[in-house]
Formats: sequence, C-alpha cells, structure tokens
Amino acid sequence: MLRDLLKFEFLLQFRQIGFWVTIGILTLVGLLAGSADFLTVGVEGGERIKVNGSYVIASFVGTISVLIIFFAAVFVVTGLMRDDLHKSLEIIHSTPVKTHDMVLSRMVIVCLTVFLCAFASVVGYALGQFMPWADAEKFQAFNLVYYLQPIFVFLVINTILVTSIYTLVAVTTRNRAIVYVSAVAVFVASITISGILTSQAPEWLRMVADPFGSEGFAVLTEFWPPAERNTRLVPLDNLYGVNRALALAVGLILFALSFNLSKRGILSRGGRRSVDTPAGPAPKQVAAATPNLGFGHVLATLGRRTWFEFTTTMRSVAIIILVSLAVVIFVINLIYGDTFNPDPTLQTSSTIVRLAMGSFGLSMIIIMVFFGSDIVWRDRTAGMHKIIDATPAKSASLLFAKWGALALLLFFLVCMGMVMGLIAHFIFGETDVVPRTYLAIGIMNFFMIYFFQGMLVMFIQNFMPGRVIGMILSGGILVGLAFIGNLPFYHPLMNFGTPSPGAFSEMAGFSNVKSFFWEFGYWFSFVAFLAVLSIWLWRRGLQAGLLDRLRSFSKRFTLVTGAAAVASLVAFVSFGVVGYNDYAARDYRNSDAQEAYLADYEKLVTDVWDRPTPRITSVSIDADFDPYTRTAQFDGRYRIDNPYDAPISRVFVSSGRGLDNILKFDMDGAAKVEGEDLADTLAAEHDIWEYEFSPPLLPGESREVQFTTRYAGPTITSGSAINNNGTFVNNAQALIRFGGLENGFMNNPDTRRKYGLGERVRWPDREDDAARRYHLLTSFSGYSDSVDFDARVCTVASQIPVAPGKFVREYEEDGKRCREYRAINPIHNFFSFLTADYELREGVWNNPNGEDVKLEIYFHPEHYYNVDAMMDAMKVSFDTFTDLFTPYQYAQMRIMEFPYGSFAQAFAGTVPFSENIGFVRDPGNADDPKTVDFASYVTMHEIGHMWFAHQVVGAFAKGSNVLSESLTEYATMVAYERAFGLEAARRMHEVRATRRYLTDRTTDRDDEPVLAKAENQFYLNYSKGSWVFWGMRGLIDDATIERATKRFLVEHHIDKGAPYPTTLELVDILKEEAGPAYHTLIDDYWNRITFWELGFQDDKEVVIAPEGDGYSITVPITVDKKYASEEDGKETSVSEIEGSDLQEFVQIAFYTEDPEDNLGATPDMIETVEVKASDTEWEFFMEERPTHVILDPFRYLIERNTKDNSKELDGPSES
Amino acid sequence: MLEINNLTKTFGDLKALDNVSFDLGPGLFGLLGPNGAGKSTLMRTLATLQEPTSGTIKFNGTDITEDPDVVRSVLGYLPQDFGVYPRMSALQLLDHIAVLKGITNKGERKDQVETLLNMVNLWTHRTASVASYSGGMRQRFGVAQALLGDPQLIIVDEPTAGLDPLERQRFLDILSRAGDEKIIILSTHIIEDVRDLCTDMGVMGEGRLIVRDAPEALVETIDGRVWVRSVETDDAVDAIKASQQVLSTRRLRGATVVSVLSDSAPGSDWASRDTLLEDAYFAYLNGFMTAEVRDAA
Repeated sequence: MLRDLLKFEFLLQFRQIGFWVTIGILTLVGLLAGSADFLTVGVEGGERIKVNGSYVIASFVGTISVLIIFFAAVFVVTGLMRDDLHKSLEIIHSTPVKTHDMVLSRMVIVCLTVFLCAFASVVGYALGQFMPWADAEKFQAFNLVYYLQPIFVFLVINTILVTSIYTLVAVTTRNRAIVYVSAVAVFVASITISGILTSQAPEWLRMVADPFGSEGFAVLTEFWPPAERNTRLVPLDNLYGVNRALALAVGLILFALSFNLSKRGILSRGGRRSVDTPAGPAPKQVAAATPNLGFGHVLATLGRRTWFEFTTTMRSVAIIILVSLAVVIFVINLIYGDTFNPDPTLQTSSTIVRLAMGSFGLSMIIIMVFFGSDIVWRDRTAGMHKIIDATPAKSASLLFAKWGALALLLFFLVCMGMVMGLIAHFIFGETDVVPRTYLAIGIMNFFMIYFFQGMLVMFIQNFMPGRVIGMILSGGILVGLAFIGNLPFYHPLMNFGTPSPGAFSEMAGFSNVKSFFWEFGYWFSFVAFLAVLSIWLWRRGLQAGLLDRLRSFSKRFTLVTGAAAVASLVAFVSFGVVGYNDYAARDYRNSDAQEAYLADYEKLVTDVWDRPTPRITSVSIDADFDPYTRTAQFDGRYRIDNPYDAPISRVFVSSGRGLDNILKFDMDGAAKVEGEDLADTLAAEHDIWEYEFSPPLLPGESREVQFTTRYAGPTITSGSAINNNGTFVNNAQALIRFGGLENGFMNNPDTRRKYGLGERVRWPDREDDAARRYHLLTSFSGYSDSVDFDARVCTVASQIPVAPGKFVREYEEDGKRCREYRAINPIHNFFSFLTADYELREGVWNNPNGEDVKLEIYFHPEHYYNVDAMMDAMKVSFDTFTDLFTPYQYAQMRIMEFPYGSFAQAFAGTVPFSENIGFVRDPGNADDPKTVDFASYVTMHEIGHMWFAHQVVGAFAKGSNVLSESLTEYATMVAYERAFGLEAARRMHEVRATRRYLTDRTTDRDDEPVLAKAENQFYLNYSKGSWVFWGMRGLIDDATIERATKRFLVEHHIDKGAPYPTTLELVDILKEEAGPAYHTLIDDYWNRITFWELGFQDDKEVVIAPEGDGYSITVPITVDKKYASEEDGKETSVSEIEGSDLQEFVQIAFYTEDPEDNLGATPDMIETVEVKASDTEWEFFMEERPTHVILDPFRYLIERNTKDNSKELDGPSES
Repeated sequence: MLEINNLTKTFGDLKALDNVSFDLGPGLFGLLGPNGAGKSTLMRTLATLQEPTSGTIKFNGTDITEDPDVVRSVLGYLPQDFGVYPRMSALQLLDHIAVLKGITNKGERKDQVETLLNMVNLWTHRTASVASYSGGMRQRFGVAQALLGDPQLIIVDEPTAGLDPLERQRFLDILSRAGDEKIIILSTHIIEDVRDLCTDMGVMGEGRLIVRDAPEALVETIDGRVWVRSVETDDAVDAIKASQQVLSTRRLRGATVVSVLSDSAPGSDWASRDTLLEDAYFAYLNGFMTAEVRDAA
C-alpha cells in the first residue's frame, strides 16, 4: 500500500507544472552560476579561487539551500494540503487508506520533491564547467566529493529541516496562508540570526546558532587562502558538526511530531453554521431599483471594490502575522542589531527609516506575490465570479480595484513602517527626529519600487493559468529583476520599476530627484500600458483561457482603451527615447560594454601611455560654485616645466570632466594634434587630447597653461557632483591633468584574460631609479613634486567655500560669498574644494613651537554629535605626532563634512570627512573595552597623513602606499592608545587590523604580495601594515619604532624632493634601529607572508605547583611558523624549509581573572620568551595563582587561529 | 425580446450547443433537458459569461456578444453553482452586488436589500456569513441577488436542485411573482418545475433545442398514445425496448412498469393512461417525435 501511495504521490508532484518550472529555473540558475561570468556567487570564482573549487561549490549549495525556504512552502501546500484545496477531502479521507501510510507517503514525497528541485540546481552548476562558453582558467579538475559533502551538509539537512517545519504548520493549522507565513518567519529568523551574528560575534555562537549552517561555514572558512578554498572540505568534527546534526535531528523530530499530529477528516473549526428558520410571512415582490450605469457607476464600483479587496486582505490572519513579523524584526534589529558590533550605528532618521523599511522588505515581496495572487484570483477562488462577471460592472473597475487594492496595501504598510520608525525613534532615539527624511526615504526609495513590482505581479497573474504557477513565476521574476543588471545586454532602461532619486544624505538630500521623476514617468506609462493590455485580456466570465481571451480581444477593444493604450505607449516610448538619448549623450556603457571599451583603450595606448609628461609646479584656481543649479566652473592657471634631460614634444591632456566640459585650454606654444589616427580616436572615444609643443618644451623650460573646466547640472539620468548643500570635488576630478593614461587600465586578471590583455602593468620595482623621480600622488593627479597653490572659491552667500591653504580673506562678488586661500609652503598637487551650509566649531592647538594652529570643524548643523570628540582627537593627534615625530607644517587644520561617500581624505591642512564615517557614527563608550570609536580614529588617521603623505611620501613604486597608509595607521594607533588606553587600542587592533587582513586577503583575485611590495591592496596597506607596526612595537619596543620612523621622516622629508624613498629604506632603517636580533622578525613581517601558529602541547598539561610564597608554572607550548605562497596562499612550515629555523619572540601572559572582555589586554604577568624549537617548556613564578594563560595576548604575531592560544587553568586540587 | 440565432458553442470536439435558434418574449420560459444537454452552456452564454462559437444572441435588437453590457445591465442571474466571499454577511454581500449592478443610490439599495432578505426569508440571518448558510439558504440568497436592481432578463440555472420541497416551493413562488413583463428563463431537469410554472418551454438534448412549445401543447401532441404495462423480468423489459418506443421504465413493487409511445395499444395487456408532461419530454428527448412522426400525429 505504502509503495503504491508513494508512487502515486510522486507521479502527482511530477505532473505539476510548478515542479517543472521550479526545476527549470533552478537548473538554469545553477548552470549560469557555474559557467557564466555575469552570475557569480559572491566575489569568488576566478583564476585563483576556482568556480568548481570545494569552497565555491559549498557556498553555492549553501545559497541554494536557503532558497528552499521559499519553494518548499509551495510544495508542502500542494502536497499536504491538496485535499482541502481541491475539496476532495471527504472522498479521500473516507477511503480505507491507512492514515499513517497516507501521511507518510505525502511527507516523504514532498521532501523528495523539494530536494530534487534544489539538487537540480547543483547538477546545473556542475554541468557549467562543461559549457562551451565557460572560461577554462576558472576551473580545476572535476571532483565529485566537492559536491557530495555540501549536498549532504546543506541540501539534505536543510531540506529536511525546512520541510519539516512547514509540514508541522500545515498539519496543525491546515491553512495554507499560515504555511506561507511560516516560510517568511523561517527566512526572517535566518536573516536576523546572521544579521546579529556579525563577524565580531563569538565564533562558537556563530557555529551553533544558525539553523541553516551558513554562519558556521563562514566561520570555519573565513581565513582560507585560495589554495585551501579550492581543495579543502569544511571540517565537521567540531561545533559545526554538532549544529548540522542538531538541524537534522530537529527536522526528523518535527516530522515525527507532524506524523503524530496529522488528523484525518474534516477539521472542526468551531465555526458557526446558520440554521435555517421556518418561513414566515414575507413580501412577495420587490420594488425595482433602476440601475444608474454612467460614469458614477464606474467610480462607485471602483471605490467599493478597491476598499473591499483592501479590507478583505487586511483582515487575513497571514497579513497580520507578516506585519507583526516585520515589527519584531525591526525591534530586534534596532535593539540587538549591534549586540556584537564594536562600532555601533548611530540611529538617525535616515538609518531608522531604512531599518524599518528593511524589516518590511521581505514581507512586502511575500505580500506582493501571495496577496497579489489572492486578490487577482479572489472571485474565482470564492466561486463568486459567475455572479460578479454577469453584472454590468466594467472590467476596468474590477481590474483596477484589484491593482489599486494592492497598491493601497503596499502604501499602507510603508506608512506603517514609517510610523513604526518614528515611534521607535521617539522612544529609543538619541538623535533628532527629521520627519521629512522619513517621508522622502519611505516613499521615494521604498514605496515606489514596491508599487511597480506589485503592479507587475498583478499583470503577470492576469496571464497565468493558475495562481500557484503565477506565484512561482511572479516570485521568480521579482527575484530575477534584482539580477537584471548582470545581463550582457543590460541597459538601465530595462531596470523595471526602479525610479531612483539617487543616494540619500541627511545633509544634501537625494542626489538626483530629476531622474526619479523621469524614471517614474517612464515606468508609470509602461505600467499604464500593461494595465490597458490587462483590461483587454481580463479574465471575465468563464472563458478564462488565454487563447479564448485573445480571440475576444477585438470585442474588448474600445475607443477609450485604444486611446489609453496609444497614449501610454507613446509616453513610454517618449520617456524611453529621452532617457536613451541622455544615456547615449554621456556615453553610458553597461559593464560588459565598458570592459570591452577599456580593453580597446588599453590596446590603443599600449605604446604611448608611459610617455614623460611636463611637471606642474604651481597652481592657481578661481572656483565658482552655483549650488542652486548644481553647476561649477574652474578657471585655472598651471605653471609647468620639463625636469628631464630630453625635450618633451607631445603630451596627453584630459580632465575628469570629459572634453566637453573643458571650455578653454591654452598651453603656451602647444597645439592640439589632429588628423592622426591615435589622437583622433582618443579624442573622439576616450576623452583624451594629444597636444604637441612647438617648439618642444626644452629641459628646464617652464610654460604657462590656462584653462576653464566646468560641472554641468544634473540630467535626467545622472546627477551632478555639485550638490545643493554639501559639495566636495578634488582636482583630479575637476581640473586638467597630463598623462595618467594607465588609470583606465583594468586590474581584474580574469577580465584581462578574457580580452587577451596579458599581465597587468604592475607598479614599478623599488630598485627602479627612474621610478623614484615620481611620488605616490603622481598616480592620482599627474606628475608634480610640490606646487605653489592659491585659490579663490565662490559660492552662494549662505554657504562657506573651503579649499586647502591659509585663509587669506573673505569678500563678496556678484552677491556671492568668496574666500581666498593660499598655501604657506608648497603642497602636493592634490587639493579639494568644498561648499556647504556649514556650522563652524573652532579650537586651538598650542603648538610647542609657539605658533598656535587653528582647528576648525565645518559641519552640517544637524550632525553635531561627534564634533567635540573629533576636536579632542585632533588635539591628541597633534600632541602625539609632534611629540613623536616632526613639527606640523601648516597654519591651520580644517575638517569639513561632505555628503554621500564613506571616506575621508587628507589634503594639506584640510580633511574632507564624509558624514557617514564620522559625523553620523556612534562613538561607543570610551570606558567599555568592547566598543571602538571610529569618529576619533579616522580623525587621528587623517591628521597622521599630515606627516605620512604630506611630510614624507613614497616613490611611486611597490610599497608606496605602505609608506603613507601603514605609517599613518601606526601613528594613529599610538594616538588612539594615548587617548583611550591600551585596552581600547587592543580592541581596535582586533577590529581594524587582524580580521580584515585575514579575511580580505582570501578574496583577492590577484596574487598577494609581501607587505613591503604592496600596491593598492587595502588589506595590506591598512590592515597588515597596522598589524606589523603593532607587532613591532610590542615585540621590539615603542622607542625603537619611534626612532626609526622619525629618522625616516627626517632623512626622506618631502622638502628634499626626488628621488623619493621606498620601503627598502624604511625596512633598512627599522633593521638598523632594532638590531640584528630582530632582523628575522622584520623580514617575516615585511618581506614574507608569514603566519605563526601558537598553541599548547597536546600531550602535556600546564603544571602549577606551590613554590615558596607563590606558584611555579610550567607551560609547554608549541610554535610553528609558515610561509605562504604569493600565488595561492599555500602555506609551508619553516620546519620543511632548509635553512630556516625558529627564532620567535612569543609573549606568554597570565591572568587571575577571565581575560575575555578586554581580549587579555591587562595581564597580571607577561613575559616574552625566545622560542627556538617547535615544542618547548617554560617556567614562570607568580605570587598569585593564575586562572588563565594566553599566548601572544596582544596578537603581535600574525596568526590565523588564536582559539587555541588561551587556556583556562585548573584551580587548586581539593586535596 | 431575446433572439437566439444559430447558436453553436464547441469545447474542443464537443458541441455543447448545436445550431440553437429561438426567440423569447416576456414570461417564464422553462428549459428542460438531461445533464449535459447544453442548458447551462446556453444559460451562461446568455448571461455573457462566455461567447458562442458562432451564431448570435440579440437582446432588444443588440448583439450581446458585441455589447454584453446591454444584457448585464438588466440581467438577474443565478448560476447553477456559485460560491461566496468568506466572512461576508448576506447584508454586506447583497449591498456589494447591488453596487456592482449599478444601484448607486444608498437609500434605494438599502430598501431593496432589506426587502429581498425578507422575501427570501433570510432576514434573521442577515448578519451571518453567507458561507455558513445551508444549501437552501444559499440558493435563496442567490435568488435575492438575482433580483437586485430591475432585471428584465432573469436567468436561473438549475435553481431547485438540492432544495427540499418546501424551499423549492418557496423559490418557485418568488420566481413566478417576479413579473410578467420580464423574460425569465428557468433551466431545470425537474419536470414539475416547468409544468407548474411555465407557459412556454423547450426541451434540450445533445446541444440542440428539440422542441419548444407550451407545456400543454406538448402534452397534447402525444395525448392518448401512452401505454403502460407491468412486467416481471428484466428480459421482458429488454424485449419491449427492442420493439417499442419506450418512454420510461419504473420499478413498482417488485415489478417494472414500462411506458411506451404508441398510436395504438401494443398489445392486450397494455393499458392506456393519462399523458404527463414527463411523457412528452421523453418522447421528444428520445427522438420519437421526429418531424414525420409529429406530422403523422
């Protein structure tokens, strides 16, 4: 019997369109993810980390196993609830089939169906490798095991877990809406868990708590370099294994429970049934009421139906649960979102409303897909359509009522979200409530997108043969829309229903409201056209088949609908053409076209890009901002010269603004090259002019250049960098530059291979003397050493214009406020202009040399939260850096807030600082060793650059950026420690340096160089650099590093000009100052990719024995040191390398209480030992009995796994 | 005036309506036929829920497939089976349908809805969910909604199926009082419904309208030609079926009473009996009354 039932159930699922559609979609997704480069899982999958490497496969399978959450619900409903659904319950349930056979067969088959769908995707993925278009370099040899493990760990277990949850809900409630809602709940639970369990959460918790196992997988693999990502299987002999076993067990238990709770027969809902009453005297006739069927009727039915559809939906249990879920997610995120975050978000109006809307996001998708179908099919589901469709109500009324009800529902929920955010803000918020921010973001960023998506769902449902297939398809399309940008033929005009006003800033508002209105018009007319189509093909009466409806099309066509169709189509096409032209005018290219374009470009300039260019020696700028029209104009004068031994005859000229916005360009004795292929192509297609000096610019000769560039206002498809309030532009973007053609070269090795571009141009070697003529900033804004600088900047009277240099005067010109700035000493050819409606906080730093430095913070008046802290940070920085290094070189220090971005940039004596990373950031609690203060940290970092980058700058060669960023990180850590103490610095080290280096290095698509030869790798210049300096300070000593750094500053000061220093000089100085004992350590840090591995010996215990007044402690430790390959990170222990010995400095620290909270920053005793063998024993004496011991508690050594570095020590034995 | 001309409706290979033509004026028209005869298809087509494959339906001269609103604006339609929105009371649902039917005046709507609820004896249950109604109550609700507005064409499809005798009576009562000036089409397979109420009727079989006349006139055509006989065995019944035009067979106290159509007594043991509408119905349905036969009669 059971076998027959299983077969029957299987065939039943097999015959469902939904099953095949799901299989089809998932297989395709798998195939594309496994072969095409426009659909990838994360950043992985390339030459280093193979698409079919064990890790990438597991990540893909893990992602698919989360998708199960959605489609499993559909199969559970169709598989387990179809008796209710198809009203066949009485017949089926009265057959002699045994209940447990029936239930069991259904559960098993539903589970199998769900698994097969997900499995199809993995099969598709595996096949990807063999597709003709697949790039062979991205694959290694096929290995079945890499698939089998994740299929079990993720697919099988998650299928069982998820399906069992729905099954339990299905058999206990027998309400399909609640099953769908439970799908949302499951998904919400999973995202909430991963949202709270950030990378800073305790690892054991991350391994155990995620029911789907993604977090644990992430924890175990996060530091794997490519070599391991390609071949290692995730180990299961740990808490993660326990997690997976638990998930499986819970799934099976829930199935058992559902099995036992399954009831047969009609569910007694306790609903009241009306009992008929005998007929009494009654009227026999009814007075006729004459129908009024004019336009009033159309409106009346539209109104009545809309309200009816809306209220009916609002009354459903499912929606109440969905909304409650959204509220719960919001509150959880608001209160607990930052539990494990050392750097919590400052909850301002824009973050809170985003959080609130985000909490509704998932519910919104479900509501569109599920309730959209519910609304469309309501009359048919209820069986009312025969009555409704025979009434004179217009199809348009019936249809638009449905569309309108969904729109109203979405609008209502968005409003609820806003209100919820407002309430939370009033209760919990520490910032000002700005209602317009709520409205702007809620409506323009969120509601509009929901609206268009919702209408699309309604349109799709109109053409579907059934609601389930409609749900699957519309859900699929909504998800698919998110990936539309990856299509090879993508154009933004295809990005359905996403009118976007651009990025939002509390300071500057939306970046381009114009484009919002254009996109709205474009998509609204499209949806209007869809609406007319839907009226023509509306499912009315009993001829519901699409073919029947198409046949009746001519009868449905009326003058009004025809006119509406034409009007909407004309509007759509017009908006489209206008937009298309606007995109074309600014040479829009999608990512594929852009790649091809850049590849052409690189091939075009391959012989000429490294031509010598003139050197800029002085700059004078008149900048004129018009924030109202969002335009700006720059009139500039450069003095250029030729410092080479040979004449310069030709030079490439360009501007970040494109050639169209260069209004004037006069260079003494030079003319534009025209009529040559290269020059013409570059000018026509790549916005680069070639100029010829006639006569050539002779060695030592200098000439004058005059130019005017401008920022045009925003267009319907692109904003302007000039904002109404809060503009920041730098010279590389706004002015003229010479040369710099290599900035357009592509770096991604996979893309380069695709276009046959060969190895990318690497930064010059440090030994290359020619390279030492240039310094780091040459790569930003062209060749110069330092320049004399002055600028006059004008803006509207309400705003303050700011540029580097000493403030000279303020004056008025044509009703505008202007300021003049002049550098008191030569600065980098790297400067910025800002204007905004600023509030100013002033301070003074008493320079020990007696020349007080003016400190100024220009900020958006609403963003006052961290201004005091930043002012303090400036003072601490100046104190620290003048104490440690050399004097400060400028007369003032200004920090200026700017909108949108998430960075700060150090110009001479001026620091533009984005609102997001400083001004609107929660500085945490200075007394809590678990929080860090990035507002202060970033301030200190930028001030640090006044020394490193502005007083010493590296030659533009490998390691150049280390000399500015790593040295700055070092200085910053010292200042931060002085301001907040060692515990805080220890935490900052953990947050900022260690984890970032270890994780980010694993996802680099290119090789990882050693620190001393780093190019632009963030994880090296910032993270590893910071780590190395921290380690050197700890293991060598502070004074030595200070001495070496100061020496480097003095010996290679920028005043001396070229040749500029490299890391070779820095490392030499470090070695000289530290002495031979530390040369290996310094080489390990700088010239190798080194990983230490510390631990306690497995077979020996830490022995604590009373001795005299205290205790003798014997610690058996094991130490290994591995060198990783630059290519794929494969590690080799020094024990296997001839001529390498261990000679390591290891700190051993003892504690008398649990050191977890401050990461062991306050040991009771700490000793540095010099280890020369892998297994050694060390003896210590302590007066108090220690409870914990940690190896390398400050993480001076670069180590991947520190979990085994600490040990809780046994208490005294009872005897 | 409803004019149906050469109406054909096919579903794939199935001809649900096969070249049906007839005209209807005011009055109660009964449409008899077995299941699958095409009654509901005809009703649904008249109610504008589906379009004919060919042929036309004209209501007061306008083709309703071209302009269905002509019918919909004056239509009262009770489908053979229908559902209702969950959690809506009779009061709410009637009010809702009344709006759709164009009764936009609130007072008028209220009056009609309340009168109708009284009329169909649902007043005491007016606030209860229609979904909780028993079959008879729901059917009466169906009548009430069909009578909303000022329907000139009332189509009721198998309305009495599943009603108990009292309910059925009450239903027919309401229907017969709905008005003489209206076209009322009652489709049913219960012959008594038509006999008791209709002045005009048609018999449908296999998608065709076999005959259309007044009930009495149809009875008239076979008056005196119905003969009955009681037989004991099934073999005997089969023998009669092979030789006679059998109208009906009926089990009666262990024997089978066979009615046949015959101009004269088929044999000595056959008795004549009063002609019923039922006999006429079967005579036409079974094709005994071909043109020749009828002419001959």
